[in-house]
Amino acid sequence: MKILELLGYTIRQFFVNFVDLVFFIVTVLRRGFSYLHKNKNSTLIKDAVVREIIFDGVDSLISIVLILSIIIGFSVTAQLIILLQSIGTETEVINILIRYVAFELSPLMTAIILICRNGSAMAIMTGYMSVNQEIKSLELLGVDVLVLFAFPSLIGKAISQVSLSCYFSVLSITFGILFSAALGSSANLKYFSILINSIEPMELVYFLIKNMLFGLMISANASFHGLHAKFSVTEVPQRTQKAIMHSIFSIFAISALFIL
Amino acid sequence: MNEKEILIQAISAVPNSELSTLSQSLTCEISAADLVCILGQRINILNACLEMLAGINEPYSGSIKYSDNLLDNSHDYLAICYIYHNSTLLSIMNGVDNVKAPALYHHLAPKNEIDREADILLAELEYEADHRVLPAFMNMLQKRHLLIVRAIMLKPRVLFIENPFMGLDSEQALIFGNYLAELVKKKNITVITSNANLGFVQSYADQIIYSSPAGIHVFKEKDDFFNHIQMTTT
Repeated sequence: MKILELLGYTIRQFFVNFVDLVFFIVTVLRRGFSYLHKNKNSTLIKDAVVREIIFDGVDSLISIVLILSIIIGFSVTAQLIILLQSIGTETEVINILIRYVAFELSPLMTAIILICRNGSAMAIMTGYMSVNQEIKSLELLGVDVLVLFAFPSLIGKAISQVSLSCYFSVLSITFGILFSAALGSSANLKYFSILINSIEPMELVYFLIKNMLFGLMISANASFHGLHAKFSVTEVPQRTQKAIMHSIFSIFAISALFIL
Repeated sequence: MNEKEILIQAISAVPNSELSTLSQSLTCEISAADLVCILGQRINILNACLEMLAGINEPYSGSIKYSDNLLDNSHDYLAICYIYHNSTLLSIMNGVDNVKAPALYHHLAPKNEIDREADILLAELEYEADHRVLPAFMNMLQKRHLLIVRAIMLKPRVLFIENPFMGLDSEQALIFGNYLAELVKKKNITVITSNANLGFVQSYADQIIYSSPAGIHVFKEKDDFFNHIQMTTT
């Protein structure tokens, strides 16, 4: 009975948090775009978005994503090609590579990198700023912190997630085919030419929308939980844990929804 | 002699604090370029008074009236700025960026003008300091100065400051007090502080609001205030 109670409570909390988060995202986007509309010449938010993309996207592009895509290429893509081509046709092999490696695994891996590297940093930073009253000090000067901090992060992370995921997908497939050619037969290089013709435009659109939602959710969770730390520094790690866990739940839930 | 414009008028206003009673109502007029000090033993009431005058909290009873100039939103400035006792600079930006951030946010002027304005205001500080470091590497006086400069960048008519001298040693308090007095004189900003030190009050206050358990008294003359203190303590 206790287990059922706990399960029910957890599910209810999850949905309450989800609704709060969606409301938070809508509020931030509405206020952010309304600010941009009113202050067309202001470069403050645009600069902040660019900084966010550099921090989230470019800084992690070469090192982490490249290395991980090589590892995934070797450990997943190449193994799948070698295994599947013995039991399926070329088209089936390519379909599985595109559906599972490029469109499922790569966005999830990219999102997990973004959560660990940037989402946690963002939650800690906003949490400390909130506890140290830096946020309140700005609000008393008429500054909307949702516009100044959360909005650029939301937009920046969505763009970073989309671009990093594309980059990750291309690299993990490319390295996978190259490794399979090196480990098995050089005939495996034929998959490059088949690959491009097998991608459906609608699948690509879903892929982009899904990644954009991942980015929005990661950023929203980080800002939302960070800004909810109010009184004590001990709230910051608690809120950061929540931000990370909720981000992971969110991206898997979105991923599951897109499969349906 | 030109009469000063009255910016804020409190009419039997009782601050909304757990400690305040109906006997502690405030009636006063605060004019442009006045330096007003709110003093007393209970810091909560002083800050509640300050918040009430700034319009952050509604009075428990009575009313606060503002001049039309303060309420008019069409100006290219923020009429009232409030710096509360725990106010801090953003830890993720250096001092100069901190100073410019709210002005850039409100888009009060083109970016190059805001840059120039910030440089001018920072140059007015009476000591040499590197403002391009993070707040973590600044002393209390520098942080306090930058908080004020950040607010002044918004060109306020009235600046409310809670406990302005908190955490400053006597030498720093003197420098900071002179700076606040200069703001009133040179930039015509009305400064209203809670819990200022007596040296500062004696030198610069134009009006003193004194909260005691018996009620809130308003003194336009400093001598009246000090006589009142002497009488009540002897």
